[in-house]
Amino acid sequence: MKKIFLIGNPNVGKSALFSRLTGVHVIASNYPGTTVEYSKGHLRMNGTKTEVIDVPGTYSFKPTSKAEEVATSMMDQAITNNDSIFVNVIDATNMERNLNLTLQLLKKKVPIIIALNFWDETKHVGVHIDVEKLEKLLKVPIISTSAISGEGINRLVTRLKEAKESQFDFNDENRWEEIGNILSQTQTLSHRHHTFFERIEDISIHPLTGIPVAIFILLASFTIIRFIGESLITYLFEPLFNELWAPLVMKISDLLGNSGFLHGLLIGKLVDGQIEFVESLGLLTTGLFVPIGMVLPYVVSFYFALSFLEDSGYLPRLGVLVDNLMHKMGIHGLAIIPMLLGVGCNVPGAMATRILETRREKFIAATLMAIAVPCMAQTAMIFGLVGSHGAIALAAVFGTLFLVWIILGLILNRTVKGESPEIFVEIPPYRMPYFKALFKKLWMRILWFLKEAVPYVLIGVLIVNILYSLGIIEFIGGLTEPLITGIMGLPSDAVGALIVGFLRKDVAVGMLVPLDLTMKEMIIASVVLTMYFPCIATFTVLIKELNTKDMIKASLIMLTTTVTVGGLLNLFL
Amino acid sequence: MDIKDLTQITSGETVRVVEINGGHRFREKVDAIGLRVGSRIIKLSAQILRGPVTIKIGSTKLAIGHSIAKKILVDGKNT
Repeated sequence: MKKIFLIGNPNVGKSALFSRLTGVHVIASNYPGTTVEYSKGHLRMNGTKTEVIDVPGTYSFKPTSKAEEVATSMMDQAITNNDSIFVNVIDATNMERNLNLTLQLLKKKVPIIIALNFWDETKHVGVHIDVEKLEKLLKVPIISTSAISGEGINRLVTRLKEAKESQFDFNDENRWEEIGNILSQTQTLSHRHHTFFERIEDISIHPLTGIPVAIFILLASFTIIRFIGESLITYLFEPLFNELWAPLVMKISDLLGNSGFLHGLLIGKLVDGQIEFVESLGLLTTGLFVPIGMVLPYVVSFYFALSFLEDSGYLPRLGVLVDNLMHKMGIHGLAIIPMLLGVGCNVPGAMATRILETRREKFIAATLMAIAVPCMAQTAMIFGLVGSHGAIALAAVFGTLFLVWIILGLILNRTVKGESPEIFVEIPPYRMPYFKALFKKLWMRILWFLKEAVPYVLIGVLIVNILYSLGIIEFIGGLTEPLITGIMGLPSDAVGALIVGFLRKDVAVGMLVPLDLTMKEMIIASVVLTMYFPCIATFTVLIKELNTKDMIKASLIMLTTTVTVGGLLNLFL
Repeated sequence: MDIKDLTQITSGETVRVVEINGGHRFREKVDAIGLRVGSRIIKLSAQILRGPVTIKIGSTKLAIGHSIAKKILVDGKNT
C-alpha cells in the first residue's frame, strides 16, 4: 500500500495512535506540541509493510508555528506525490474545532479515513455522536477509537483500504457555518453533573487557589520521588552492589594483585583495603556505581512522577500560573515543561525546548536550564558533597541556583535580541493517566538516561585515570590557580573534578570527597560544578537544538556567570 | 452593547466576541482554534499582575497572554 499520514489538531492522541499502529514508541503526553518533528514507523499487515508518519498537530493548513509549518509542508509534499492516505485523528469530545481542520482536509481531495479518538471519553462528558450519519455526510469512512486503551484500532486497520476522496461539497467561506450544520445533525449533548476532574479544573487555574494547589502538588511529587528513589536504593540497588557486585570486584582486585595500572583503571584506589564505590574511581567500581546505583534510582522515580503529571494534563496549568514570572525572563509559562524535564536529565529537557516557538525563547530556556537547573546527576552530586552539612548547606546551594535562574533570566530578557510571543496554548482536559502507556514512556526515558550516562561516566573515569597518571591534572591545576583559588576560593586540587565535570558531574563527587573541603568550599564547589557547563551529552544535544553560534554564546554566558557567582559566594559566605 | 476587552470582564462571565484586533496572521491563528467574531466564550480565570487569561470556547480551553486578551473585544450584555 501507500504511505499513511496521521494528521489532526494538537493533543488529539496522534502519537498514541502511532505507537499502536507501528509498535514504535514515541513520547506522547497530555499537552499540545509534544511532537514537533515527525516520527516514522511501519505498520505490518498481511505480510506487507506500510510506512506510517506521525505529523505534528496543527489547527489549520495556514501555519502559525514551527510544528504547523512542518505539518503543512509534509502534507503538501504527500499531496504532490499522490501516494498516501490520510488518517485524520479527531478528538470526539471537541468536534467543532476538530472539524475545522477536517473540512480543510476534505477540500484537498486526497484519500481520507477518520479516527474519532477519545471515544471512551464521550460518554463521560455527555457527547453523543451518530457515526453512521456523520459518515454519510462527510462521505469518508469514520471509525471510533480510543488509542490509549486500544479500542477500535483493529477496525481502523482493516478499514484503512476504504480511505477515499470525499465528494462532500461546501463553500470554504462558510466553513464554520457548515460545521454547525453538520453537528446539529449528528451530535447531541446531554446535560450532566460536573465531573470530579472539572471541579479540580476550576481550583487549579484560579490564582488564589491555584498557587497553593501547585505547591501541594510539587511537594507531594517531591515526597513520592524521594520515597520511590530511597526504596529502590535500599531494597534493590544497595543489596545488588554490596552483596553481589562488591565481592566479585574484590575477587578481581585480588587477582590483579591489589595494585598496578590495570588495577587502578578497573578497580581504582582501595580505601582501607576495601572498595569505596564513590571514591575508588575505577571503571568497575565508581564507573558503574555512580550512574546505576546512585543516580538511576532517582531518575526512575523522578520520571515516574513527572510522567504522571504530564499525562494528567496538569503541566500546562502550572505553566499558566508561572507565566507571569517567566514572561519577565523572556520565555512564557509553557517553558516550565523543559525546565522540569531537565530536573531529571538535561538531555530530554534540551529536546523539549522545541515546544517553544522562537529562536530567542529556545536560547534563553536552554541557557537557563543548562546553567541553573540541576539534573539528577548534579543533584546526587550536591547531596553527596554538602548533604552531610545539613539543610542549611543544601538550601544555600539550591537557593543560589534558583536566584541565578531568575536573575540571569531577567538579564537575558533585556539583552537577547528577537521576540518572545506571549503564551497562547490550549489547556487539555484532565485525564487519568493510562499506566501501561505511562510505564512505556518511563522505560524510554530510562533507556535514554542509561545510553547517555553510562558511556560518559566510563569515559570520564578512564580520562581521569590517564590524566592523573600523566600528571596533567596537576599541571592544569597550577595554570588555573588564580581563577579557581584566587577568585572562587577553591583548592587547586579541585581542578581535577572540574575537568571530569565536563563529562559527568556525578563522577566529580568521588574526586572532591577525599579533599576534605570545608562547608563553604563544598557549597562553592557544588554551585560551580553545576553551573559552568552542562555535561557533554547535553552540550551535544544543545548544539543540535540551537546552533553552534548560539551555543558558543551560551557557553560564554555559562563561564562568566559561574566565575561571577563563585566569586560572590567566596566573598559573602 | 457594552464593549470591553477580555481583561476587563470578571471571571465566570459568558460573553460574545464582537471584534478581534491584530494582524491578519493573528486573526487566522485564533480563527483556527474557533475564536472568531460571534463566538460565545466564557472567561475562566485571570492571573494577578497582568498575567494570562484563560477562556473556554466550546469545549476548548485556552490560555492567552494579557496583551493578547486586550486585543479581543467582547460584548458583556449580549450572550
